[in-house]
Amino acid sequence: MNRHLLLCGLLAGLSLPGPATAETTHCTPITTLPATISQQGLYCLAQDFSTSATSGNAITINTNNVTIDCNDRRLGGLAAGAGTVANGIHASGRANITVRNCQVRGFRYGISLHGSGHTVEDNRLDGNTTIGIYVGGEGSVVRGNRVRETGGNAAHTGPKGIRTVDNVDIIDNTVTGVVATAGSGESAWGIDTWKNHRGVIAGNRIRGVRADGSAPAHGISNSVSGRISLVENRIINAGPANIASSAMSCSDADGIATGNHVNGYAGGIKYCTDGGRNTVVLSP
Amino acid sequence: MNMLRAWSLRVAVAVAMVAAVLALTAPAEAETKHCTEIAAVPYRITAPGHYCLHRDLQLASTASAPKNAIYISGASHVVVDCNGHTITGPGGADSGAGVVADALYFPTVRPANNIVVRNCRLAAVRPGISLHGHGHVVEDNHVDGAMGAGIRVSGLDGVVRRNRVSNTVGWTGTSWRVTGIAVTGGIDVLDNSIDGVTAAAGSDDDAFGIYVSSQPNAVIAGNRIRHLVKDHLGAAYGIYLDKPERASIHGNRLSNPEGAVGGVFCDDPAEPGFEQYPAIASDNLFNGFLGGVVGCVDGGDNVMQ
Repeated sequence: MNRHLLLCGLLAGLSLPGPATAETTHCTPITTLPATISQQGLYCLAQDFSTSATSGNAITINTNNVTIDCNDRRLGGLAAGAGTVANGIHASGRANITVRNCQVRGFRYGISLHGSGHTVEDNRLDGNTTIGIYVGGEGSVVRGNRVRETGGNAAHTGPKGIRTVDNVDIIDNTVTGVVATAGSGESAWGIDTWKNHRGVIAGNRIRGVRADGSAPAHGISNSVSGRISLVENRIINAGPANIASSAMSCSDADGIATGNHVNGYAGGIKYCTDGGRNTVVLSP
Repeated sequence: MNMLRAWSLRVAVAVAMVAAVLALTAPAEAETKHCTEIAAVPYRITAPGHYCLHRDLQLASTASAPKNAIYISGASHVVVDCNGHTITGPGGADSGAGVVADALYFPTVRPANNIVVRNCRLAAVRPGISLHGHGHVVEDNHVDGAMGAGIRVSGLDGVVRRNRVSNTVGWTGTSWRVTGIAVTGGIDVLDNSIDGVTAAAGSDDDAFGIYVSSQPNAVIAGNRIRHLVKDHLGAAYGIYLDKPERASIHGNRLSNPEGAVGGVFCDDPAEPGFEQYPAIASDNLFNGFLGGVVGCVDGGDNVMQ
């Protein structure tokens, strides 16, 4: 009897629901910028930050196994202007980095993680000039982020809402307003992946991707891709589209696309295997 | 030895029971603590930052000048987290909004952008939440018994998600027809529950679960809508889209035993350009509607009972 009671109690104790938007308080606060993290652990922002630095990184992660929870606070770099080469949160050659609940604005790259096993989730990015989220890392996931108004860099580099390298899952993100600098003649990408051979790209909402001049706009572009799954993404562009634009593309037929809505591109789903339930309305 | 084992087991059981009680009584959402407390309403926010409630609040009736409970005036980058607490309005025509950031109706102030409203329970207010501007997030709220509209958001790049909107009632003094969630501009409406939208008696008015106007590229997905009640000559619509340029309507579940005209109703197909930029509706389920997908491109897997 007692054992049953104990088991019930333990199960009840373990069943405490995980909060959707819990504030992280047991953490090491980041109190100044630029900040460099050299010890693994949980870090958080307890206030909004702004910087006018035009180079370097607002937060540099120099070790593995680090979580940054911004608690919905803002990391702002807009004051550096369109010519900035500063990044918001950056890690190079590190493993198992998590960045969540951050508002990152006005950097060249908003969040830039290289290495492996990263998680980038529930962040809001806007006004970043070249790439909203960059994750180069086997076994990483980018999910639940909102990436707005990416582009406008002075270097005339084609902007990308989300860019990943290697096998990365990209789930349930909203990417809106990726616009190449006027006069640059550059392309623009909602989501751009490279060497994604086994990843899942699902449930993303992508709209307002605008290239400049005759350059193509890409909703989801997968270069050097393999057996990826493209599932129930919504890729939409209002108004007339550039003839070279394509909503979704794979390198070859190893990639499968199913249940996607494509609306307003000149090109629909290219080179992927049609897994059915895709609805494509091309731009006239 | 046996006594020691029995004592250890009793201690373990006691600890487990305390843990169980704590688990069962803990709030579903963790509380936001590092914030400026809103200790009374009406409350005016004029600076960016995090604001929160630590207790339930009551909005008094002010018949001569209805007050909004929380009014965000010209400030962007504001988070309002009610931590699950309730703001109760007086109800009726004397009530103001629950949370408002609405330059549209207060044009002398700067637009408020990037507003987050979460974990609020709003009762008997008019409307529940009303935001105008860009990049807003309205999530995990419960609006009950609002007048006119439960949640109203206009602007670009916003999202209304995971909210409960119940028992919304019409009001003859409003220019807005009664609506659970009304969005304009470019707002995603995702995973909300709308239960009970009733037009005012004698109004001959329509009732809408979700009303969408001028929504280029928006996604309306995963919502649950039921109990829409029109008045007399009016009509009831599950999801109504006015000029739905390339909207995507997917995976919504609509049930209306009271009967309704359209499940997903894309209006004004004669609008110039509409044919070129239609909305797509797929995988929606309609129960108790006269029409399923009306005026939109049928993307398949829509089921009508």
